[in-house]
Amino acid sequence: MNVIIVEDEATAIHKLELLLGRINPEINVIARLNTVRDTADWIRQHDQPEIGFFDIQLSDDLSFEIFQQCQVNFPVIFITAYDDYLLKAFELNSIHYLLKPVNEDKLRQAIKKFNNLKEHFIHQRVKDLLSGYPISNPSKRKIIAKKGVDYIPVDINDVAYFFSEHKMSFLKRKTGELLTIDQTLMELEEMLDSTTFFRANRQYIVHINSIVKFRSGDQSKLELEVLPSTPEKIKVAKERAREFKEWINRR
Amino acid sequence: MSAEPTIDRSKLSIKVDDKLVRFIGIPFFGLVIPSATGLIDLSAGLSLPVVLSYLYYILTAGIIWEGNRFLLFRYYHIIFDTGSDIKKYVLILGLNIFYTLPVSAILLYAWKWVTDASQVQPNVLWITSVIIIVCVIFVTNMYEKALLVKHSENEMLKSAKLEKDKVQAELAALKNQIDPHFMFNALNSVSYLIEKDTQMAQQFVDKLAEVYRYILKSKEKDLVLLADELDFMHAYASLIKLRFRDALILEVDAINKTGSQYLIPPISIMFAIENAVKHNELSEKNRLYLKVEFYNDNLLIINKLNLRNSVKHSTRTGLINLNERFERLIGKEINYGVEGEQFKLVLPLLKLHLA
Repeated sequence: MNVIIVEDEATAIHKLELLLGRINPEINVIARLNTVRDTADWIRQHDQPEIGFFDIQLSDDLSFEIFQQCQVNFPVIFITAYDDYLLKAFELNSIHYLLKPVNEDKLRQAIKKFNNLKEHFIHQRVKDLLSGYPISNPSKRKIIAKKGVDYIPVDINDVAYFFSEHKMSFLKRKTGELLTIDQTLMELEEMLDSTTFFRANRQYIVHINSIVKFRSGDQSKLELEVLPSTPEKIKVAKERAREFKEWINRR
Repeated sequence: MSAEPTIDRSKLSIKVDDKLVRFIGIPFFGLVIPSATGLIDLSAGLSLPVVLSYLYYILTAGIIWEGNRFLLFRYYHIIFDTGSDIKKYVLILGLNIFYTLPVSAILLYAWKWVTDASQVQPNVLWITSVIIIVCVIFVTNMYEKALLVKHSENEMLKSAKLEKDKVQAELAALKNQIDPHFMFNALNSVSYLIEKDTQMAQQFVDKLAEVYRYILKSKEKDLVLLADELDFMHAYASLIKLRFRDALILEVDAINKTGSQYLIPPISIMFAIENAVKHNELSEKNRLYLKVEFYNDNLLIINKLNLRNSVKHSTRTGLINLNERFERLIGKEINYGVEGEQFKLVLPLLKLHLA
């Protein structure tokens, strides 16, 4: 398997080569490139490798620039040290990345994934990321949640509901898993598709498929029962009850 | 040891640029009021006594203006902090009359007495005093409007400054608490492990990166899910286990179910472990038993006491800082103390009612 490494630090190149050799002796590093310029030149002149490992911060520019300068038709795994903003963008665009220090197990998993899927849409994804418009396909909408030290991209249709408490926002997956997210409910409301999500009250935004049943409660309020269930039924104020019924009937 | 944010009042004192208004206003009132009320008789022309009278009345106007201005500025904080409009106006009006009436009456009578102006009727003096008060109210109203604008500007500045101070104090506290110690100790261990056991060094560095990344991210947050913090605690504990060769025994009881129902300030469990490691002996002969358990909306962290000689006199700064964070973020104090052979730390948790 022919791969290229784009990295400006000698020790980092050695480390990656060492790990690659350990994972699979048939991996053949056919080029080690240090700058955006050299990499773009190399790609134009040679056959495409099977995988590229790109460090993001190169000495002359960010390695994304390579995608502006030439057509990249092979899968790329990005490697970065610490960049909060970028990691979120990567997750949203399904771009694979590894964190430094590169861990052998994670590198092995990443290579295995590429062998199974043989994904070749990297160029468009990086272009989307650079254009600042991360979601090219609305049906593939994802939201980034946090769990421990990891980011987790959650498909929007896997969300049962969002809620807010103690000034924090939470996402409840259909599986019952609870995750934290950075957006406020107000920001979510603007971002989400209003035909699938409904702002029930100050604390809840619910997905239409998670509503099991609803009925009128005290003082013409509506009470929603959802799955996974909430400690108390979700209340919809009298003023919004009609809007809710119209919303749920539309689907 | 975050410094309590303070506001320097003198730096935010009120400044109104009124030089021009005073320069025109004082002579204006000094000339117009006595002419209008007949205090000065102009029928005889502009004689020396008339000119002197005008000068005296301009001086009087000056004393009244400046006096009222002084009082208003001096008691500005009291006046504007009353909260209700009615109280504010009563205060201002009271201050006006209390000062203006006696001062103007005395000054007017004094001049009448000095000049022996028999043609001036006593009731003219009273009418003049009343007119002066009306004019003072008019001018004070002008000042009050100007002060009000300045006041709200000051309030905005004040709250912005408070907010900034608060954030800086917190950041500083958090940074001082965690980074230097943690990082240098870890680097020290790595440099040892590189020679002694390269594979372990590798594991150590991977875990260290994970832990440090969590610490960096946590700085942006006030609270995290208990489950996330416990994940992090395990990563951190494995670092210590690598460093001390299993001399740390960590037991976690029945928390998994409750992990996603409670919030906790980030890095606080790690701090508790760090604290236990710092104060107690950790060796294969004297292992450190640490137990983390959930009890009644609190997290208990208990360790067997085996104090290091070097730390018998602890300043407990760390625990005091931790308490400050909990008070602010959870609204409850932490508890700690020695019970028999054990040191017990109780961290209050914030319950998620909707989870």
